[in-house]
Amino acid sequence: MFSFELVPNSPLWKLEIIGSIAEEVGVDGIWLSEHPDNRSSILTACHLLKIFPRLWIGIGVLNPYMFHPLTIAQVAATLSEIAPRRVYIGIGAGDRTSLEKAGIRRSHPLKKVEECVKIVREILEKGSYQDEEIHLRLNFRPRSKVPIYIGAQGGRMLRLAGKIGDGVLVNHTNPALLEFAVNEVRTGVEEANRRIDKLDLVAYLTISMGEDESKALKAAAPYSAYIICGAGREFIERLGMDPKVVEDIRRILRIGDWIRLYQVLPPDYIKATTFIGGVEELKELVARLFKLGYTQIVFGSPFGPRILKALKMIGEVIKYFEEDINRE
Amino acid sequence: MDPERVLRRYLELNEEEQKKLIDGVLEIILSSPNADLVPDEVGWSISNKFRSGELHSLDGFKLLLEAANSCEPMKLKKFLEEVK
Repeated sequence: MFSFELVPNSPLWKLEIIGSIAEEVGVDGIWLSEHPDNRSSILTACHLLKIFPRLWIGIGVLNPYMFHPLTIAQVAATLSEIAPRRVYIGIGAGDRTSLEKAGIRRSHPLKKVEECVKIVREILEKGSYQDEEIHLRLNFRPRSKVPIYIGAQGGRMLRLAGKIGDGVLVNHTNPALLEFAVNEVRTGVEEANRRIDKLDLVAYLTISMGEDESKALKAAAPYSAYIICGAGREFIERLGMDPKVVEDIRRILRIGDWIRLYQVLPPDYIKATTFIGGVEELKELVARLFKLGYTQIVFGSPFGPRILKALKMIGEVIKYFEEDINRE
Repeated sequence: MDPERVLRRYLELNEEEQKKLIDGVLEIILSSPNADLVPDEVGWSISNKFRSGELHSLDGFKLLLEAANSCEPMKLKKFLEEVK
């Protein structure tokens, strides 16, 4: 299964056009990222679900620091009325940099995500939830099951996702990290006595395609910076990044100095956190990911310095694998 | 950029060249980080025409020129000069 990620930092009319191209090139759905400084992913989902009756829309991801579990359950149930069986909800600890901007400290992320998923799932399945603090009964019924995907990067969150998620949004693009992630999810699945084939294992890739590598790197730089700054120490060490450079990137990102970012962020760091390349290289990566056990590939922003061209290139990759499946 | 001259030039092109020109201007708009500068009513009209398959027309081209001139005037000028 293939999907696109759209970032609601663009006007809705532009997302409509890109969504329309996504539909044309053969994706099954669209994930919308959530950041407090962008348009609301929830309201964007409402709009796009009405515009594209053949696509499912996932919100990836809502975090329990900014969205109370009851709000997430309410949103999911309402969206299921707008588009039954076409709504996925992603829940995760949230992007550290965005949370910092909102003055929120990301404390006890594992516990917060686990509790949130438990509450949201119970409300969606039973229509009510009760514990020592919360007593809630929905006044309406969700119209369909809404699968809950867990957004994860680090080992412990990936294992938790394997234990409790209907799907896992693995927020890596680096092949070594994607391999590490599969093993962690498998461990979680085994610990919970579940089966890995019951889980939608999603590689949520950051893509920048184009013929000119320097332009592709430039387009990917802000995305790479967010990934690096949101990552834990485990991830930084695994990729062999210099903590001092990472701290510099974090400081620059906080003040939004993009020109300085291009000077400080090493191209190797961008390549380690995003996909930079052409059609053949992307085919190789996707084939490798399917072999590792991934069941869904998300082609995520920025796509490339020339979006229309990059989307056509991604379309070629999708077509190649669809023909491959048909041959089998 | 003299809009009337650009539109005259558009009408002189054959269908394939017109399509290429429209795709080029659309690329400038979609790749721009300044799309918020495009007036919303122009953006919605472009999307409606794109999704109904009517963007490849003189009206579609006019809308695209207005949008690209709002968000990437220098890139649009350079692109149109290359077309000449």
